Amino acid sequence: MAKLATAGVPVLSKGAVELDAAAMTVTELNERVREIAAAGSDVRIVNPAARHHLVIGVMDPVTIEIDGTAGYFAASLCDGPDVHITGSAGWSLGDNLMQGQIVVEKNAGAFAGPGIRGGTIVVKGTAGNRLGQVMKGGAIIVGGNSGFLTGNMLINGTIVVLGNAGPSCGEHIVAGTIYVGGKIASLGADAVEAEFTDDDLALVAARVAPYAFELPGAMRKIVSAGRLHHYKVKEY
Amino acid sequence: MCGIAGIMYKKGPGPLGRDLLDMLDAIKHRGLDSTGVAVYQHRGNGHAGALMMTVGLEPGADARAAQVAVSGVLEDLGVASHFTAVKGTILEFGVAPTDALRILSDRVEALPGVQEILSLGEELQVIKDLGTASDIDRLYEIAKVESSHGIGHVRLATESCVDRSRAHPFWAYSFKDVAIVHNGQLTNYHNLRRKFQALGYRFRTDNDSELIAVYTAHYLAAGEDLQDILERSRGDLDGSYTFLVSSPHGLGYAKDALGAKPLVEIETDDVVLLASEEVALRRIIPDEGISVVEPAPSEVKTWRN
Repeated sequence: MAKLATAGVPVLSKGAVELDAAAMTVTELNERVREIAAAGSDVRIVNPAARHHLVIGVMDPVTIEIDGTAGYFAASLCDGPDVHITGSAGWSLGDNLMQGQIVVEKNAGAFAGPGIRGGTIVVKGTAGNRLGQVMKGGAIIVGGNSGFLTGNMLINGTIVVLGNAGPSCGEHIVAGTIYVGGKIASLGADAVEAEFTDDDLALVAARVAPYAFELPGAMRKIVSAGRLHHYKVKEY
Repeated sequence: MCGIAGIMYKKGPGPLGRDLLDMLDAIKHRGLDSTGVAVYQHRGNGHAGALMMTVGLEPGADARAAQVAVSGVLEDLGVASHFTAVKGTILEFGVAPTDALRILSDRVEALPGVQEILSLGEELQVIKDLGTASDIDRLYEIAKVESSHGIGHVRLATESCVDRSRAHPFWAYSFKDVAIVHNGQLTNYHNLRRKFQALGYRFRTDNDSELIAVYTAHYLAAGEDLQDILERSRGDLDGSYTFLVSSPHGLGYAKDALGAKPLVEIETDDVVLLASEEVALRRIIPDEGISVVEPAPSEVKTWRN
């Protein structure tokens, strides 16, 4: 993992290669990013202008900075890089992340972290609807509030929302844990509240510590009641 | 999947055509089948209450013959025509105010070569056709339009066929000056369509988006304002949708309870920008210091000009 600054921001190495998103197609940009990453260098992308599909399919543990706001599916299908987005991200941030981390300085749209299997996604602002939908591992941390259907069909992993969670939190949750620091508008089907223990506190504290978040005075823990889903074979 | 966009300049007319097309171009990946805009301009040309009637022609129709035929209908109904023009496959008529909008609409749409009336209003003009934003601009010179507000749409056909009739924006047939664009599906479309047909409304397509235009026009005609209608729609319209609605007095949006269709907005002291995706907003306001807001499920909002 890249060296972290005090607020959890991956730091680019001095030899980082700068790419201007305004000067090439998204396909060309992603091909260049993958080539540079495969050679072991960090990448800084300027002028993203909320374009979609920036930083897709990067499989190497380098640091990539998107200087501005990214559109849909930013940093998706990745396995290893540390991605820092200095603005916001659109829908489906970090889709299917396997390893590495994604840090968003502002907000993320709906479906942040869908189906991730590992790594960490950090949204310092708010996250939209369906945060962590069908996620299978890893962690998502949101500094602000999350929207409707937080942890929808969560299969495994950890979601930490330090602010409020919207309606139907944990809808059809199968396994995994959702921690909420603020109010929960309502619980979803098969979601129940469990005791927030000292072990939970230690786990959440360790998760958020690198990102300089302050922990709320109290947190709530949402898990599956196990009434609706009964998988004999678990792939996670 | 479709893409929607809306603009309102708060301090008077702005480069509406250019900006709307730019936003629609930015989200053309959401739908390459057809593109359309609804713009609002005072078009009286010295004729108080004058109406703009925009008529779409069938592919291959003789524009001059259709123009003569429409003029004949106007003359027959005693409705004075102040000007007429041909743009691509669209006819424009500036006509005197009339209460016989339904009769006029029915008569014009029955003419050979006429596909449909695209819009009718004191300020509204809908221009739509197959293709992308740049395609329709080449035909209709939309980028030249300077105006206060308008909405636009790029369509990926899902539930009805690809043709101009099913392109957006929709106006509420024979109700002047109301237009809508929509991204999504209405699951209670058939029930509501039957209800409004029973009230005498005519539906010209099998596209569920047309229902939203009729729905809006119905309650506007009953004296409700746009905000009230959008709030009412949350209980009446079922499905997964985001839509924009516009009238001469403003525009607004409604999002469904599922929040499954996107919308983002920027509002400054000068302008309101609405679009399916931020990439469209950033074509107009690249400065990321100006924040983008993503409305919550079930949220509705209106702006008056």
